[in-house]
Amino acid sequence: MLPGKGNVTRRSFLASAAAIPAAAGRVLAEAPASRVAIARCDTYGQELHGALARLLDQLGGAARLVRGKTVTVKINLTGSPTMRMGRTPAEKAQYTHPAVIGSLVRLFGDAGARRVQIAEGCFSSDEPLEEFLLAAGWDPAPLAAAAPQVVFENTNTAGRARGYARFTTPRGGHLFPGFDLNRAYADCDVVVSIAKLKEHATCGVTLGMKNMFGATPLTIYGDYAGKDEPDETNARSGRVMVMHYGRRPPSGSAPQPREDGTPRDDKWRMPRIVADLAAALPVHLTVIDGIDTMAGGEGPWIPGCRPVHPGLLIAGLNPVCTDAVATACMGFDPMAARGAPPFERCDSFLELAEQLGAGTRDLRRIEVAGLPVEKAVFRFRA
Amino acid sequence: MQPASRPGLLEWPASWTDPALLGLVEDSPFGTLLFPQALPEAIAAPARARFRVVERPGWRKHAEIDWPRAADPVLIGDGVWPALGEAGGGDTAEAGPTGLPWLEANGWIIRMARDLAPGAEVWIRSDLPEDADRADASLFAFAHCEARAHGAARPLSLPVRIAAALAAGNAHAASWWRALCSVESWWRERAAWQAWPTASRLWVVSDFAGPNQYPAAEFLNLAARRNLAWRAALPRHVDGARLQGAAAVAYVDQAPLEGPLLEQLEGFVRQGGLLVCLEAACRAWRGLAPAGSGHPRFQLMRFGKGRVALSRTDWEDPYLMAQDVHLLMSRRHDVVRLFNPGSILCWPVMSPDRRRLLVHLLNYSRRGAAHDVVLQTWAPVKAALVERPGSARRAAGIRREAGGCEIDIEPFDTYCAIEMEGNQDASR
Repeated sequence: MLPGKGNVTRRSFLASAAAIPAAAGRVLAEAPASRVAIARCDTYGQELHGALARLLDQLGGAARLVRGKTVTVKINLTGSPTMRMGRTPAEKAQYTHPAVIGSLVRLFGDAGARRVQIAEGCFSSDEPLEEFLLAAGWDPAPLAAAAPQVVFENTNTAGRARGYARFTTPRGGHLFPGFDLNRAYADCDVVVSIAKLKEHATCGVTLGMKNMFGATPLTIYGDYAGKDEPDETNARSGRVMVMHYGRRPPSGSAPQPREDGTPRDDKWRMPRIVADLAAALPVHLTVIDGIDTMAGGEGPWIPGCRPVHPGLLIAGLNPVCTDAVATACMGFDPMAARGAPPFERCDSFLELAEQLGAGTRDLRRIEVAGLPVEKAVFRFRA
Repeated sequence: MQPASRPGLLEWPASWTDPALLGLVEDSPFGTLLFPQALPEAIAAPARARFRVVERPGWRKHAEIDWPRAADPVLIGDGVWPALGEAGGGDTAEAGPTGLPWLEANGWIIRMARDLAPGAEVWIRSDLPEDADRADASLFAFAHCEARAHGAARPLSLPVRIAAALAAGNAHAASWWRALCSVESWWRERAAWQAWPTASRLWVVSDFAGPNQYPAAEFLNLAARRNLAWRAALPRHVDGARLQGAAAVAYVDQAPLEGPLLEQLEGFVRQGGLLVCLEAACRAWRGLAPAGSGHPRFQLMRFGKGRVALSRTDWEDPYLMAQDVHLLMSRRHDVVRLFNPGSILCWPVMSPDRRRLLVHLLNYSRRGAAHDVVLQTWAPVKAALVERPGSARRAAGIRREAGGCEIDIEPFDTYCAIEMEGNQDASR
């Protein structure tokens, strides 16, 4: 059983989601709330594993979530693996740290997970995920050995399964009524988003929900995606044309966005895509690495960005609630609308996801375990 | 100084007809004079007495060299002037098919020549850039360093106006000349580096002739652009000793593997190596067993402890070929990697005792990198030294990160070397 989802299994949920008719309105009665846990953790050393274990315990325990299950873990490796912010290694700035990934995989293995799939749509690349990790200077071997059965999947293509699974956005979504994704996200029982605590140029902040944007395969949503069908030979681009600016549609085989009269502005589109994805693709656990990270943007290509050390780990079972708490930990108001920090130039994906019923961003309704938010706040705009 | 102790090459300017100018060169590290045309009579006797003289050197295009019968020195006449691509210049650098800035580089040609004609000197030349007369000495120093770093010599060709000014005793030209002499002297003091072999676990085997020449040479070019170091060999030079420590062999040729080469490669794969080749090349290979079909362009086979990756098509795209070989072999075998490399190419070599790793770094933008460059290696490093022409040798700081030992590279305009000392085989 998945926490917060009654007796609905992931597979049955996905099957039934397709049958939900689009709602006429956007405003829901009340989006669900779920507990979020916060921990202080100063380093990626020995203290990390215990801190993560305590976080999971505060959420009901890893075994309850993963025992006997196949777990897909989406990590965040944004940008080129050889690009750094100055001399700061990517894992201490824009990438989720391998120690966090490895520690969580080990906790899942110890808790009885049957299989763990580490997944990411690697930057402009269809190469094996292990090779991408090596390019970043990481050794994938310890990750592979962290649990009994660990596999890696670059979800920019159809990959191992040689096919895609459809994820339908409840109530039709804001922009995308559904997404076709690598089957690693469907052929599993639990999806985990391991994100980084960062600001973002087009979404204000990038946390557990925005991390899932990288799940969209380049064969369908990339600049050179196939016109009618996914092009498995051409997964070497960004997602600028289709997703950021809507200058071309995704492959015809996938659900098409409703582009009639919509702004071709990434600060309007991207928050909606993030919200639609959060509603379409259930994420059962979000873990946000805020130990060493960066402020000012999501990657070293953002002018003025800098390394920061919030020393935080944040986890939750509902991605909207978790991101809302994380946003507050960054010194921002998760209830902020467009025009207020951190959404000065973009719409709030938290608000948009809430409208789709994916979860609440209202801190008054979210129970926080461990470190209280007010003691966790690290002001990114200090 | 005897010419033999002055290995630098100077292309004698056509405008220099006064034998007195030999005196200028005699006090320099340039001991070999190249005369593109016939040696002027007034100069011939004194030049021959005091220098190694080469008249009308027989420069060849590298693709036309018959490698099994290559002359010594190997004279490569179709080098390029090392630089960012033609549209290059800062951020506007032309992007190549790699998505990376296009670089005009000669390192791969020189390394290929050194591997295919072992023991022979390699000389390489190219035409001067159009604006050579207005260029400062650093442009020429960079070209010089590129050749030397890869173990070759590039003749110094003086731009017409510089040659004339130097002959007239112009101070600016004299300063220009001294700068180049200084660079060549610096390399002369590091002559031993030139014999250090490439630290790589990839061998590229081809006859580099006929229909195989283009895919084989372009593979070397584009692999080097990925900072994937390799060693090249003719089929007849492949033996067990040479393949010791190798992780992969890319056999480029269309000719089926047979005879001693087949035996050598069977032994290599049986012991755990990877062979990448055309499907047709393995017709005579018995005992290959399918090992999954997950690769879009290769059929993967198992043999002994190793693998054979059979290309389903001819080598249609050398860029893709370089990428595929790199990933099939795995980046795990990269000896070093660079972060924020920009327009910097690197090439690792190791000392004959395999204890020291030397990484040549060439900055084709000729401007200090806009971002901090970091060098990383898996291997434990005890100590590291930074070497640059014109600067004193000094220790480099070593950091331990999740991915291994890291060394911060301070901004440099043209060339820099990092020499690392470790406890184990530098190529592993």
